[in-house]
Amino acid sequence: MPKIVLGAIFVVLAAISFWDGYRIMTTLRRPGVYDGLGPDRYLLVIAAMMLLLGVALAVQGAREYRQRTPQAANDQASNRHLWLLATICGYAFLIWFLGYAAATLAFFIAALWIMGQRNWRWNLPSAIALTVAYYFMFEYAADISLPQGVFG
Amino acid sequence: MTEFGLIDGLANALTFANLGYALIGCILGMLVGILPGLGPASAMAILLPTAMYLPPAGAIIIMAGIYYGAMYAGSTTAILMNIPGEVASVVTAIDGFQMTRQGRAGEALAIAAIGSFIAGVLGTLAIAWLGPALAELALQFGPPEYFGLVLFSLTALISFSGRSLLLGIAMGVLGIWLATIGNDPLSGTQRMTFGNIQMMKGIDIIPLTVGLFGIGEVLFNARSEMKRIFMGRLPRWYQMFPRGKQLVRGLTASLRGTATGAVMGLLPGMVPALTTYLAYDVERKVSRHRDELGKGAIEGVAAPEAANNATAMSGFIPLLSLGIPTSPALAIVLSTLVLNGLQPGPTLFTQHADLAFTVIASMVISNGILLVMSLPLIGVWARISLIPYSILGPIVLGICIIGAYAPRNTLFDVGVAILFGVVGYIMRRLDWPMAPLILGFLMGRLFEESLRQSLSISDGSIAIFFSRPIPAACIAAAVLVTVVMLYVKWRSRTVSGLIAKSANEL
Repeated sequence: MPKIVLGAIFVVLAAISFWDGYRIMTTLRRPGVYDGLGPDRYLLVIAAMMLLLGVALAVQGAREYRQRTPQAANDQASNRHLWLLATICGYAFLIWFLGYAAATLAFFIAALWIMGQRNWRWNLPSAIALTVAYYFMFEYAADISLPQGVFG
Repeated sequence: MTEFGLIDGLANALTFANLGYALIGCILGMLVGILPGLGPASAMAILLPTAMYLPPAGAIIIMAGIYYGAMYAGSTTAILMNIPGEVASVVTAIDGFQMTRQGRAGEALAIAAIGSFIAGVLGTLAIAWLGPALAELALQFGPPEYFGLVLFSLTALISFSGRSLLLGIAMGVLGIWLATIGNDPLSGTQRMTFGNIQMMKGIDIIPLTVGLFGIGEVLFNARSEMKRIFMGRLPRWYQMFPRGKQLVRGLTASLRGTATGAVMGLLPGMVPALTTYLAYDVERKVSRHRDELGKGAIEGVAAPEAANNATAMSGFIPLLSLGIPTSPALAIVLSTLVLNGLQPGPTLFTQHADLAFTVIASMVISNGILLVMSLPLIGVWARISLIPYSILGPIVLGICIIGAYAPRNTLFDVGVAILFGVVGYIMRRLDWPMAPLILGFLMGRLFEESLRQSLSISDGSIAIFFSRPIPAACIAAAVLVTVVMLYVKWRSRTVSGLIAKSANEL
């Protein structure tokens, strides 16, 4: 089943690439501007390869799906990763909105909690220490300007 | 004359001041290498203004130290946490992280250090003795030769495909497709940007790598509620070093990796990230223990690490003897030379022989410093595998997200890293190969540039690839390797199918 989905994604990406390649070819290609292959035809060639591979993946996926053997569900798996993913997405938004310091502190507190560290007396100082350590490491040692947020 | 020059340079490099510059360069380089998002080129660019206040030899020694310090240290996080500190460490992570999971982190770190040292010393000797001659050979490479070489390199996709060849090729093409996003390398035309300013610069390799490997790995481990990367007891630090057969396997792989990296490193565009793939591919083809690759084989760490350092070193040959930088980091070294009033080229070895050979000799010293600094710390680094994953996971995620933001200071790259983190998690769960995606992405631009430039030269005729000896040989070798490997894969599948069938009959 996953290969069928991947094949479908390849077909969609190929369709978008065909559209963009065709757009460049019809609107931007002028004699002498591009080389023979050009950015447009090159993209069309890659799109054709994506399309072929997408179809091949879907066909192979369908064949494997028909020949599959039922597997027992994995009871051990948790949904911790989904919470973690939500936290990462929230962090990406907060770092833009609140800036590095507040967002990173909140991120570490949440991430440590989700990963199973439930001791607040340990989590809070750890989150502060990590936020400060990363700040010095990136802002000072590596001379990278970290986000200030909309209030910065 | 040359031998005297190198010995003379060694004496100069061993002065207190030059040793200090080498030490500073190595320490800065190791810091840069450990942090994902900060490449050696950016760090060297930041330090470039200070180079004006240093003596010429000191400035170049510091810059060179940063360069290979970063190349070496990028493997540390790749081996311990599956986060490649540098793109060149992506391949090292494949077997290096498996070794960590087996409690062999110390062994992996030690062979990475030893392999880098071997490549560094041999690379230095190559620079001193063969430099100008080899560089002139590399000058004969034009776009058709590059296309042939890239095409041959892409046969590595088959090796990295794992169980499904179709999936491996699809991932490689997906990587090539991702490389087309943004401004076209030859005419600047925007492709697949949909008017988005952030998309114009294209997708950066750092968010792609930290997303696929770092974030994807943490999400995967969070789902399986991993307690620690390694659950057993680590040996004492002096027992962590590879011994006996393991050491011999590591050393021979290091020598093969050095040869691959040194030869490829002479060519512009053949950055360490690409030559590590080739070195790993060579191991897949020639190693006696190729079946263990991908499962924690020492060759999987030794060969790419040696190739990585050998490429970094051999890039100095065309730089010093012809003034051609083969990578962005070496372009900064070139700027340092020019800032100090030195013109790289054949005259550098005649008019400024002292400086040239001092710098070359300092490379051996710097590699020695890196080895001495790394080996005692191996026991400390290896203990990272014992940290509870509930603590290590958030630490890794923090590095990945800020590391993705760092190269271009844009939150768009953080979004890209998260997106590829999800992709990496799915691929990890389904056991799909990630290495072909990165290889396709790295090769994509070079593939397009060399193909289009070649066709421009020949007015669209593909005969140009067959009328010149190097591209024709590369294409023939690519076809031959592909056919042989497909045959081997088909036969092994047939044999395993027969075994499964006979097992069922029993």
